[in-house]
Amino acid sequence: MKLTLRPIFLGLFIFWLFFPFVSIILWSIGTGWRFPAMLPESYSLRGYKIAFDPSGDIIKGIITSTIIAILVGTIATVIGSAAGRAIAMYTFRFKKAFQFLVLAPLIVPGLAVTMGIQVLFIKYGLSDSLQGVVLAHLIPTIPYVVMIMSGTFANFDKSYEEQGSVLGASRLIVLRKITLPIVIPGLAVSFLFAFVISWSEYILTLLVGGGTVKTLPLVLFSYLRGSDLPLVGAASIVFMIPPLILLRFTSKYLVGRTSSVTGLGTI
Amino acid sequence: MRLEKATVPTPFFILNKIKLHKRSSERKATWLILPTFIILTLLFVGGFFFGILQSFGYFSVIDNSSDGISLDAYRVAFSSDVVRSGIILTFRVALLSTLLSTVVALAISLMISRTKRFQSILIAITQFNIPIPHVVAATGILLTFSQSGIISRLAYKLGFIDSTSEFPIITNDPFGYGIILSYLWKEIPFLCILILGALRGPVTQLDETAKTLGASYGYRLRKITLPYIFPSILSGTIIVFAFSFGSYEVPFILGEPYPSTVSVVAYQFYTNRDLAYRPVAMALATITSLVIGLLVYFYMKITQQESRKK
Repeated sequence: MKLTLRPIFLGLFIFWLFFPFVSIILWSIGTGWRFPAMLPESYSLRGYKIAFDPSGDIIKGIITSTIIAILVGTIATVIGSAAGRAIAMYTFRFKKAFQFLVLAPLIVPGLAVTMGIQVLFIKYGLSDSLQGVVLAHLIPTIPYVVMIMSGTFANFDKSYEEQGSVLGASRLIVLRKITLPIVIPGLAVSFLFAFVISWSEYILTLLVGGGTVKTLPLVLFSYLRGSDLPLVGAASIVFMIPPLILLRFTSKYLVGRTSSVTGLGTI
Repeated sequence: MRLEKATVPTPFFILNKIKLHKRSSERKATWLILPTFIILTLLFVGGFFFGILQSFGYFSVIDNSSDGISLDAYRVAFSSDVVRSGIILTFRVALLSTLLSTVVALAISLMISRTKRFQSILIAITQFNIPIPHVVAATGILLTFSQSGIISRLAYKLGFIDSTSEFPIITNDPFGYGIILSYLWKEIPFLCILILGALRGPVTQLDETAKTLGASYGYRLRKITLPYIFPSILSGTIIVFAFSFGSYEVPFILGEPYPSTVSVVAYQFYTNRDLAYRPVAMALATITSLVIGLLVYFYMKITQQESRKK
């Protein structure tokens, strides 16, 4: 009984996961697709032509989004890894309070915090600027990095580093040749999460960027207000390719023999 | 008789060394946490408190000479019909999304972990929509489940309906079905990855040992697997609940103008031409944060008691 049910459930699950993709792909290439028709009457690449117009909103959006997401991913990964290491490997005063500070942004909505800080951003000239958006994106991303990296460093054997320095390696060499190679799965997954969260963020960008910093989500939202579905479809496809490319290189660390998401299971 | 611990006096020089080590470790930790501490304190704690101040009419943008604290914003928020219906919708969406995604993700993860032949392919498929932006997920759900979406066309083809209007309104509906579907689509794989990650840990050896000793699958599930993956599920549900409670993008795309979730309502107040509504937006943000915080706190208390009982 169980043997026959499991493939059915798993099949339904896969179907459920891929169905929305099928819709988006069909809409992105279909034209004149009136109601009862199961498939578009004709196909065209008009949506993609608009999407890849070099002076169009989408190409500009890709450039802006990429710059912001790479900056956010890098800064959050570097800063958060250090904090993750401290939590996993050191005892220090107010450790509980610090952990609370790190977890709180996972629970308090980013919208609530950003609305509050907006006045200060305006005062210090950070609103309507790329720097301001990067700073705002650090709020929801750093907690993920800290959790992932504290999980990674919890399984880290410090004696490797000690042996290295006893044998005369400088701090930099120890970091480059010993520490980094061991924690690289955690770093990769941290960067993936931080990049993807920043890449997908809409409301924080809109609040802080004030419509001046036009990332891809903002462009897609403006298309969603219109009714050009092929354009919406094409923009959606373009929007999800960079994160998928990143996943291609990091997926082996997500659930592998060295799973790096376990840190997320430790609230 | 109690056994007294033998206390050999630690030589003075070693004691000093330990102290030194402790101090240097503390200093190292301080440097490591400093950047995170500064950023989160300034941006997160700062934003949170400025939000609360503004909700009391303090530091208001319109008049800097505002005469101190007032609870007007909270009064407006609680007497507003938009807010009240928004709170109900938000609770419904967040609770249903969390509950359903947890149950399904647990079942799917256990099924995947028991599958031998296609396990790595199944895991790859599950990972596939982790990096997909929520906006795209919502768009996909919209194009699939709207009245002229693919499911509706399928229903027509199969003779269930004769026109678009006969298809049930699932997206941009007052109940929040579309929002819930979108969250399920994104959060089930997220939870699956968390659970599968935990299942790949040392628990596999424990499970193998119990199996060779003759324990049944059900027994092993109850006594070994579930207690082991429990912390991951707990964290996962908290993240999913907080996210689905406070997120803006999905309810904006798949919801209705009225009733709308608290986050959408708060943003509407915030961007209202009349700046007098800003404190109301801040009040809503504060209430939302407090509600989520309290719920998570009680949830953790209860689950900790439960796991201690075991």
